[in-house]
Amino acid sequence: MNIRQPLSLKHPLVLAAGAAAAAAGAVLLYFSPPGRSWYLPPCPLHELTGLYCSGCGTTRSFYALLHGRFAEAATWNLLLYPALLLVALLLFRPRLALNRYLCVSVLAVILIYWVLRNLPWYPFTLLAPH
Amino acid sequence: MYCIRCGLQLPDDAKSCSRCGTPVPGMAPPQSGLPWAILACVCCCPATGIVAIVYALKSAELFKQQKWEEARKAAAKSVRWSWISVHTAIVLTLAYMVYGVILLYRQLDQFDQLMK
Repeated sequence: MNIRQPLSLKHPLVLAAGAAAAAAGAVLLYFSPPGRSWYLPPCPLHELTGLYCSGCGTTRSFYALLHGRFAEAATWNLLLYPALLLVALLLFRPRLALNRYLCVSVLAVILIYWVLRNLPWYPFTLLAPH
Repeated sequence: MYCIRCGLQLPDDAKSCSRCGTPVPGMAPPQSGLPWAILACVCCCPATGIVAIVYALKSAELFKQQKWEEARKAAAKSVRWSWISVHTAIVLTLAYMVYGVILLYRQLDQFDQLMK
């Protein structure tokens, strides 16, 4: 029985297109410091409400990564490394995604992180991308 | 696809698992949207990324209850919401670029008039 999968990563065309898009994005980002490039948009949520979301700082993180500043990358968005690790793990072990506890933990971590980043007191201010 | 009992990877046309003999129940484990949902949450748009994670969780629960078809549908929805995140980010970025170009031209225009 042939089941249509939503997105087959194993398809060579998908792989090639994804790799090309990622490479183009990386080259563009390498030469565009976030905050000083007119074509990199600020986060709409932060512009409108002043709140940080769980994705705030990721562009700056990737910019630091591309320039080899690995420690600085973590300071912009602390979840970046754990998230990338987990995604890599899930791609190699897809059955892990059927684990309900893992799904609930991921959801909880992201929501809690989202709230904590916006608290204006000392240890939490470290989580905000300044 | 994978055997639902032991997790062995099977060819798509397999009727049963070659290691433990469990019959394939007509439905392969759904390809989960969880990795894309996580990327959506951390990289672009958490509002839709959260929805994608919730659907991934729903899919895992339905799979546990052996509701294969519903689990597959929930997984497909999860992937769709992750794509919505990505598309939103791309559209917003492009719109912002167009806006930037328009602003730039306006400033150049004003600069020209000042020079005159």
